Amino acid sequence: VYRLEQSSGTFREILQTGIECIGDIGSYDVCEVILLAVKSLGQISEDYILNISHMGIVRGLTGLLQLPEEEEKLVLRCIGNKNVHGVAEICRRNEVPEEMIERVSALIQTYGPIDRVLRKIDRFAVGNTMQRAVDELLVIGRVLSEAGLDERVRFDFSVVNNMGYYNGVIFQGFVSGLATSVLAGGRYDNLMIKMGKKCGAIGFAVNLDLLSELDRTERELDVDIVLLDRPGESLEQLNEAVRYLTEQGLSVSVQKNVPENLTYGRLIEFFDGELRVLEDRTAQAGGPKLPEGGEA
Amino acid sequence: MQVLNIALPKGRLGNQVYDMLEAAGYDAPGFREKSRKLIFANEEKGVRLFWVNPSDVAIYVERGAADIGVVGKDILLESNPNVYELLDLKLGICRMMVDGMKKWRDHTERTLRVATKFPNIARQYYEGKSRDIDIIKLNGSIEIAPILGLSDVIVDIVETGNTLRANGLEPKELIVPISARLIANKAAFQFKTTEVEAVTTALAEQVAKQEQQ
Repeated sequence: VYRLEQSSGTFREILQTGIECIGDIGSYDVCEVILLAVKSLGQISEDYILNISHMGIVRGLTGLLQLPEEEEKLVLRCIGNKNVHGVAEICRRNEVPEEMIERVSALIQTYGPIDRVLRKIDRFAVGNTMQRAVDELLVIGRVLSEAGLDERVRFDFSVVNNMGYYNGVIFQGFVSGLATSVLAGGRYDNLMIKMGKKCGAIGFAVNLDLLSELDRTERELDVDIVLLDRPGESLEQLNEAVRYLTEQGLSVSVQKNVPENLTYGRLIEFFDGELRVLEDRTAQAGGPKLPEGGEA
Repeated sequence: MQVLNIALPKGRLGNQVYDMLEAAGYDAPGFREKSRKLIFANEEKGVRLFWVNPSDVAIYVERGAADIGVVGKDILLESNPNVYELLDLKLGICRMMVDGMKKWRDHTERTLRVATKFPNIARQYYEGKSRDIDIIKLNGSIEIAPILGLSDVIVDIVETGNTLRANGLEPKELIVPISARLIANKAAFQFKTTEVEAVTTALAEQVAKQEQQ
């Protein structure tokens, strides 16, 4: 996907992988997609957390505040940042009763392990939409614990990204060692309606670009072998040598001159149709050995 | 227990926050002494504190180099980082304002020239008023812009207003009150929940104590 980057104002390419499930979405589909999200995170790291929220509960509650649209958006953003004092400030300037402010604050502060949240969640339900949302979370909680995957899943109502887009469950995944969420998704029937489709949709995406940040191991060498391509060298012979060396699991770079800013293990050239080592840094570095037997 | 990395803003605000952290039991030996050292750890309390430029705190926290940090609301409004805003510390209190020369009067038929360090805050404020503006981004000494005729007004934080008055300017309109906020990296919060909660609660108690005084 391509996303507009705030800091530079230009589009940036982001490599993602994920699923979209479009059609008549029922509780089964929702649960299966969430289980897949949990398992996907488990593939990336043992130390992961999936946060699940439900827009039916969050928007159900902010709807009760009877705020102008722009102010409600600001409240949703504050909920997304766990900003209790910010919510209170916006509500007070719009003369929302203190009791309602308390309820939004309580919602922000209700997060954590599934069973702990489920014990408190009933008091948030006012009206049918919210009750349906609570019921859905109860089902999800049960399915996750039956699958033995509930330990690393939390309910957290601060997951409110893209409020125009998502409507039902919405979730974000984190793995230890990455500063931002690596997985994001949820139910987005609203987008389907916007596109003129009469059906539901749910999906998620894993940001693959972020995963490269998890592997911070330092490589000692840029390339195992530099093979010199002298003027008049036989290209067939060079290519055969490259294939032979790469088949041994070595990385090879063919260069016309000895490269200046490249760390390599060995520097080799052809001499009288034989491979000859000009320089060997692997002995002290303990790098891979050049295969015996040279080249025929 | 996991170690919490805490970014504090260099300067008076950072010192005030450190006082609160110390009173809450999160002291780091040597942090107050003037030295070239940048990072101060207290293994026992599980904290590592470091000074950074005040306007960079949000970047350190958003990118996870610090788990939590303290930053002015002005910087949060300007850069809109993706972080949790956990607590209003009620420190570093000031106001984001429109200021102008004493005799200045707004000519609404003209584009208003606004000099500021906070282009996003200025843009949002005037967009809300449907006022056409031309933003002149400056990095310091904003007060001089209207004096030299570079701009009609400035958008800047005002604490006492002394600098304004000394230069023949005065505050004209309040945009938003500003104070210091405790922020947290969203991913770090998931993996160090109890540690972040403990510091937040301890600081909230300090804020309440200072409000009583």
